[in-house]
Amino acid sequence: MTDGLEPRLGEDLLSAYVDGELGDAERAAVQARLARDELWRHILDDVNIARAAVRGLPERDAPSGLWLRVLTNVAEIAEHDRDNTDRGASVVAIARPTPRRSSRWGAIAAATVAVAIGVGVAAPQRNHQVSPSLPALTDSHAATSSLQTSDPLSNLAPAAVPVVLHR
Amino acid sequence: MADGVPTWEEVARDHGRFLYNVAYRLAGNDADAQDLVQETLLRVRRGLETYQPGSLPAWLSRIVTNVFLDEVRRRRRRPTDALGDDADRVLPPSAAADVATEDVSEEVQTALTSLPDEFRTAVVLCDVVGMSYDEIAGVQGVPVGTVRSRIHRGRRMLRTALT
Repeated sequence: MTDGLEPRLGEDLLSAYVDGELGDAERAAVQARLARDELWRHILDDVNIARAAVRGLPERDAPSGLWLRVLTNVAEIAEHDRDNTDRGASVVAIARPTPRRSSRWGAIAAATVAVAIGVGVAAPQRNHQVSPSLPALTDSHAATSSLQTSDPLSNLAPAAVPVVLHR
Repeated sequence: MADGVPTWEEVARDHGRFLYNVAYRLAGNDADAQDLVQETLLRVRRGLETYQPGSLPAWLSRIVTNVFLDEVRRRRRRPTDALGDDADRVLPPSAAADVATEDVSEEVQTALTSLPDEFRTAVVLCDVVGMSYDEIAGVQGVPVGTVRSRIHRGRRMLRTALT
């Protein structure tokens, strides 16, 4: 410090300063330092540029088919949870179509399920073949719901039924 | 939704995009982001019974961050798990340097991915999620002063990487 009276200011106060995370006294001290210290003004510019760059990142759309895969996987994993007490600390790789994102049916199925969930509409059941296998999906949900009385996934079974892709 | 507690599918439907975005910014690649989302929703499903109605995005951010940090720790313990069998399942930062940076957002993401995990997490929670330093301290389990330092150092590294 230059005057020997001002408390030592760390430059990490600059990020807190631009984020509005400083109290009145600290903010005043930072402003006083900025007024006389060119290096600090330069650092402040850098902080602002980096901050704006991250805040300016666009929102990304989830890959097509993600939600259907997550839906199916969560049901299957939950079904086997009771036999596995040691998987809480690791992330299980998501099951994906091969090659990823190339499955037209998967994309359509995901979109259909997403729409069905989104509008909360359950269409009548039909006896068409679906992808993924409807029996497997519903069995999975049924098995899961049998383990937990308030299984939120079981409510999705009707929504998955209208995934009718093959004519 | 009963008693202010959303169902699992409501969380997935209403906050799925938010979760995926936070996961992507933390993980830096699509494959790991998808895995984080799945694990997060699993934990959400298990934890809904104990969820206290409040800021759902903050609760979800805490979970996805914990999932990310758990995975980072697990991979540190077992380095052979660092690379998966998927072509785009890569760990930062070395492979990230090879990513074509055709557009600015990819460049920023690459720089973000190159940050140390704890710094990146603090920056993402601050600048992507919009959490306060107090909230970030709660998520990371460190004092506010540490959060302040991580965010600032992270931004300085980012600026250098973007130069």
